[in-house]
Amino acid sequence: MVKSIKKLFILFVLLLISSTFLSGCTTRRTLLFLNWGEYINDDLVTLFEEKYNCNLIVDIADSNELFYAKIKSGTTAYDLVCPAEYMVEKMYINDLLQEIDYMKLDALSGNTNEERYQNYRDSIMPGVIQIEDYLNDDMLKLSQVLNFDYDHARSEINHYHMPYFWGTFGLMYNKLNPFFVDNNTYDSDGKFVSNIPDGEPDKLQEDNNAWKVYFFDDSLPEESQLPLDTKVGAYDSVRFFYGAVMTYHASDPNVSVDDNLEAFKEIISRRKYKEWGGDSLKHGIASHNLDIAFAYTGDCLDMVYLSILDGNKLEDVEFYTYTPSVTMAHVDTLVIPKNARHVDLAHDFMNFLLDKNYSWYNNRDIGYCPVLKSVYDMILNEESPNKDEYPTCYVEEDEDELFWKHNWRLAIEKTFPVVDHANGDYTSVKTGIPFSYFENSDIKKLTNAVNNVKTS
Amino acid sequence: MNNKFGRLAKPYIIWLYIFAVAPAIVMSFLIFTDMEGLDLANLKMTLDNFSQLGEKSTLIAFKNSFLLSVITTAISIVLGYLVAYKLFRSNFKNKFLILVILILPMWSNILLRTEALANIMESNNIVTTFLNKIFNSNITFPQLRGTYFSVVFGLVVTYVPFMIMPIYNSLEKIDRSVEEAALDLGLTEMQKFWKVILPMSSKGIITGSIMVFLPSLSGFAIPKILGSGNIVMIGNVIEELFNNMNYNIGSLLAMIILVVILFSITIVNKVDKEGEMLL
Repeated sequence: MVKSIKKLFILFVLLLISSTFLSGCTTRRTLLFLNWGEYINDDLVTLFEEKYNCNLIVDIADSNELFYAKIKSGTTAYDLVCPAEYMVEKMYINDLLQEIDYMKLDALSGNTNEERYQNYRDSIMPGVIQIEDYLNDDMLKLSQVLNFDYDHARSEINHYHMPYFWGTFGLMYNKLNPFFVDNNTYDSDGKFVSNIPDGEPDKLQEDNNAWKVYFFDDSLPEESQLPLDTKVGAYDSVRFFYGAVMTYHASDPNVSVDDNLEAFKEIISRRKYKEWGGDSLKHGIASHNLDIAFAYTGDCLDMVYLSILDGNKLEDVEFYTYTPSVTMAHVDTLVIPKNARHVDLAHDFMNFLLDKNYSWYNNRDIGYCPVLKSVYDMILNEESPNKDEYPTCYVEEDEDELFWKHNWRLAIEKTFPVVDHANGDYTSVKTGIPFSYFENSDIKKLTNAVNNVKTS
Repeated sequence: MNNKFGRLAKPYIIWLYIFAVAPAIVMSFLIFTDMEGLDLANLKMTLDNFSQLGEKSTLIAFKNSFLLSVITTAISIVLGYLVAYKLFRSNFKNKFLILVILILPMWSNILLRTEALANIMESNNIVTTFLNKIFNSNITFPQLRGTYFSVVFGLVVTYVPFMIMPIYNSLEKIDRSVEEAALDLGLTEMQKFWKVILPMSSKGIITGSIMVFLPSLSGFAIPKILGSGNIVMIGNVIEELFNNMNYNIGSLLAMIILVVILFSITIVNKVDKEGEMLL
């Protein structure tokens, strides 16, 4: 017995020694970033590591609930996490986040924290501001229900996160299906002109019928209904699908589900959905096995970008997404957990992304809408980073690159249109409603409702 | 001597306690509580979780699971026995090679194989794309994905090697002289098979059945991918609940499955007193 204890002790000491030796090998600081899959340009990781002489490790989780569980349990001390807005609310309420120190963000100008926050707020797209204001109001309501102090005037919740990408939800459809003739008009340059063309109207877009068409509304005349053999896909995250149904139903998607549960059940049982999926939906449409599906706009653009890189012009891509004039919007946003170890480095990363050139570079790989107005401008003006100042993220301007930049611009312009960009107005043409946090019991009711429909 | 070998088993027994027994105890506790995730601060004791068992979708999910895994097991027995018997009877020298080829697909990732199968079962798939490119035609396959057939097909394809192996092993153990004796005593070839070979290989069938039935019963990836999310088995319900941080009801359903599994293994143990069936 004594012998084995001795052995164990020696083993333990050896382990200790070797671990100190091994940790000596890496004096570089390490930023632990918990992100979604395929949500950062891999080259950008290298750029950041070189610029700040550190390691950037990107871990992946595939749901907001998982983000929350990982932060709450605290087994790994992540320095940055990228949850969506409703999960930020929940993390904030449960006191898991620390406030961003805007004084550490040198890319912003201003002498006080508040001035710098204002400076940041002035630089982001109105679509994001819309979501931030919604969050702020929502927190005020929650603070009254749950009884905690909340500084509404200061927009307190928005001092705890920094938007990474944002976007809307829409209906992705297969352009080869005759029902969805793409009647968008383009000028001779291939530039998108209008959603409302002359001649035969697009049934999806006519009178903003998109939701009615998708959810089989019987008030539509028969010729405007999707044919019965249309292959329709539904999003299997109940929180998001409920949002879509309520947007169609013209009810608030963010209040308790009890009042609307019966309507929800009735609406989703109207048709047999060919597929309930997540990421599989966009692949289904791209391979023509689905005709229409409710999905993230950015998911569709991911596929569109791949098609453009294959050499297809935007108007020749065989699928696209339509964003109804009132839809759900989301923002994925960077937060620093309370138990983060490298808070300074996390701020460095935020600062890094505030540089429009690096943000632009990151955005090339990801189909969501940029947060910064300056990045949006770069895409719309088909600009590139300056070759001398930013040699690392400059891309050689050959024929392919010019083709890509042109079609990228057309895609962004068409999918995330703003009112009057030329005159400096960035207000979204569409209205996006963000999600707020739901109780577990509500999610359970929705899940059961969906499962009952699937099994009926 | 015995004691020495007993000590060798210790690591695995400790492993078993930490990763099987302890979680089962935690889960049994979770069944009677209501909280979000593992949030002990806001823990409430409740019996409400059991109301989930009255939910129509849960019952249908249980029914689907049992029905599909029984069908899968039955088909696997027939297919597996035919293959194993053919192999057993053949004069091929390197039977080991054949067995290796049989389990060759298992060297690739199961999700990858299932996704590939799902692609082939779509009306527009990799084959039609290829053919349409060459012949400039417009061929489509029948749409199989999303049906019960596709799920059963996927389960059989995935788990049939687990059936072939034990059956083949038990066939190999049959003494040739027993067969000769049966023929000497006047049985025809057919009678010999039904009265001698089949009963003597029943151990393999039962072991194989357990190894096919249990993963089919509790799995969720294959029905999710091949059923296009439309075919709900109990594994899918449990996965969904855990994803939504509803560990309480998830534990309840998972424990029910665990009880079913333990129950079926007990039955087999009762029937097979010498403990020879579970090779």
